[in-house]
Amino acid sequence: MDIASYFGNLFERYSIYYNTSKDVVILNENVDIMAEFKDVHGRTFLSSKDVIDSYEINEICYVKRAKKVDILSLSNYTDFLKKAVDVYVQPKRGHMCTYITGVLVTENHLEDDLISSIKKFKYSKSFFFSLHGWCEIRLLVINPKKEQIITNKPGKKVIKFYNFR
Amino acid sequence: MNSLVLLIVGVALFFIAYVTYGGFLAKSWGIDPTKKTPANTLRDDVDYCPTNPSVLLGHHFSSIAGAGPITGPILAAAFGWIPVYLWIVIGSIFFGGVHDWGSLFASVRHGGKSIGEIIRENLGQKAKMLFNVYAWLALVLVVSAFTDICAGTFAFDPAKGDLTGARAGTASVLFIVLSMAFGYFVYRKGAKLGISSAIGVALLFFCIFLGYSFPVLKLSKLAWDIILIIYIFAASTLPVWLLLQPRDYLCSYLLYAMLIGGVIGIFIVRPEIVIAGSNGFTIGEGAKAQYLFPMLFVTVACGAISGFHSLVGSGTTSKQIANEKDSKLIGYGGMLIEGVVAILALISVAAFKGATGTPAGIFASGISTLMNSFGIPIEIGKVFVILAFSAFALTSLDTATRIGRYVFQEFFDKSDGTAAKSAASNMYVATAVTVGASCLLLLYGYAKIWPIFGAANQLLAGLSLLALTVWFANKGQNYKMTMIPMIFMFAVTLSALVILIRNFFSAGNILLGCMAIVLFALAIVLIYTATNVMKNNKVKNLGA
Repeated sequence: MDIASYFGNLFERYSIYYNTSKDVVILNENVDIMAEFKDVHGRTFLSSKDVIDSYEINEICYVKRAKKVDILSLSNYTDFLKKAVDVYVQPKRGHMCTYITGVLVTENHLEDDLISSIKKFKYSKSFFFSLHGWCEIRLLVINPKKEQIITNKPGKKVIKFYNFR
Repeated sequence: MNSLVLLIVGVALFFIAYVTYGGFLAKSWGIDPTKKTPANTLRDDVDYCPTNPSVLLGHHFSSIAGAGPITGPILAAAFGWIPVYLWIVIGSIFFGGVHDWGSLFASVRHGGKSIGEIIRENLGQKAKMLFNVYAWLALVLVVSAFTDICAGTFAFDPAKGDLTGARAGTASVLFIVLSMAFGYFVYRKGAKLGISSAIGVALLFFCIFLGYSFPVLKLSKLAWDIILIIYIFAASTLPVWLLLQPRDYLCSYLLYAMLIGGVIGIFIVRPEIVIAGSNGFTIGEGAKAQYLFPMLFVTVACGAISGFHSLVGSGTTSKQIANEKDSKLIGYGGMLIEGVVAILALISVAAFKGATGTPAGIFASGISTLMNSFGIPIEIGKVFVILAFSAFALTSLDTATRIGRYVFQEFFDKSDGTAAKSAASNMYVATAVTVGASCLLLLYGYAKIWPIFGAANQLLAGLSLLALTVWFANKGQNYKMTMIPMIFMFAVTLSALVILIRNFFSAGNILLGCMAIVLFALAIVLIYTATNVMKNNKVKNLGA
């Protein structure tokens, strides 16, 4: 699959469930697709406004096209994702978790040491002993040409969403 | 009479009613499978989400099932097994089932709004405030009654030396720790649900084994009261994913295992009913006198009809109904299944001579004897059943505390409905006040609290049936099937409150007596308001 078709498909898929925007600059980083999702679960009593308890799960996805992905560019991108955690995650009562999903799409060959770095990447943060929730970074590097998806451990949970249908 | 006959006849009657009376209600109400439900038209995959009916039945059933269907029939067995059995069967079919399904259906037809909101829309903001006061008092009663029952069940009496309570108490504490660990690993660490469930259920049974082998928590009732109060305070303020959700999830396996074990046991043992069929219209004397009418009908609440089903259950279930025809299985079917649990509870007390102790202890004793028929040691069975019972009671406790806290906070809302920032509306203060009020009532014990809780709960059912009757009448549909139960429930609950007021004051229980007076007055005002609204609507309709 060529990269343009993959981006088109991915944007359509995001549009069903996420609030999406294209070509945005976030924290001085150019991002091709940004998608946000908020899921609120709760129980109500008399009316839908009378919430007894609730919790929210958020996901923010940043998809970026990269000409070449190497250890350095990957490190820069993960630094950007960590910064996004500090700026955009809002821990509070009722916040359960926020996933920051960073997706790099490239047509270049992915070296073995890079693949190993992606797989080993791990970042999560608890807020107030998890009572105000936590956040986690999912990292995916995708080569549509070779139909190859490399992810870190948390990223495996969403791998189906990024397949090459 | 053989208990197997009672079970089979009950289940058969429920099945026949589901097909025939359920079919009649569906036709009368105009259940339309082609009509889009709010889950489809307002779908947002947050609150409104079409759900598989069998999955939704499980969710709805676990929401409405508490300790009620077990406690009520056991306490009411003092009247004899025949009236209790008849009320469970007739009540579930013609009262509770109609109430639950009607509330659910009305909510579906009102865009997923809960029955409370339908009442508010029709009766106004003032009525809603009165309703909130009423609900808060009822919830305080729930918290104190269930806390007392659990504490009494777990208590260890050195004089008797019976370790059952200490074993169940130890297992319950371990179960709470296990639930938190389950929640942490599944949600926080992303452990797979299938594997985690298998391990969780295995560990759950290991907790029972540990509690049985090492009953280290040999505590008095007072100590358990304090522990449980601290627990419900924490459970109602902690994030739901950490304790409540995993506990409720694991608890559902306990329910299934207990139900299956009890039913298999009855088929194998086929015990004869040994208690009296009827003990007459009056039992006890003076201030302790209990009359079959109305006390039977407020004592057996959740096993026949319960007002909280319409509040807690239909609040979320109606938003997930994929097709109107599913509402029959979930609303009506869910109540009939609860009727089966109530029959099991009745058999557990009626088939075994000399059953004494707390309702949980009696139920555990009966079910464990039945399960012993296929090799489960009685003492382990007892710990297992008490654990299951207490898990339900704790679920009801924490939900009631949360709702109570919310209702209390709402008293201090600004006139425009926005939340006020004051000490009284603070979450922890509101929880402390609700729990504190319940602690005061703990002094009276669950046996005295249960009838007044039952009356308050049944009155809520009457009010929900009133809302349904008004709705059907306004639509020009047949409303007899909700009006007859409504009149009966009002007659039962108001007369029960009058008797309770007399009994409480003559026994010197001033606090409970005053509470009963307030509940009675609030109910009268709400009924008066509703009647006026109905009259005004009629005049308006005639004018138009």
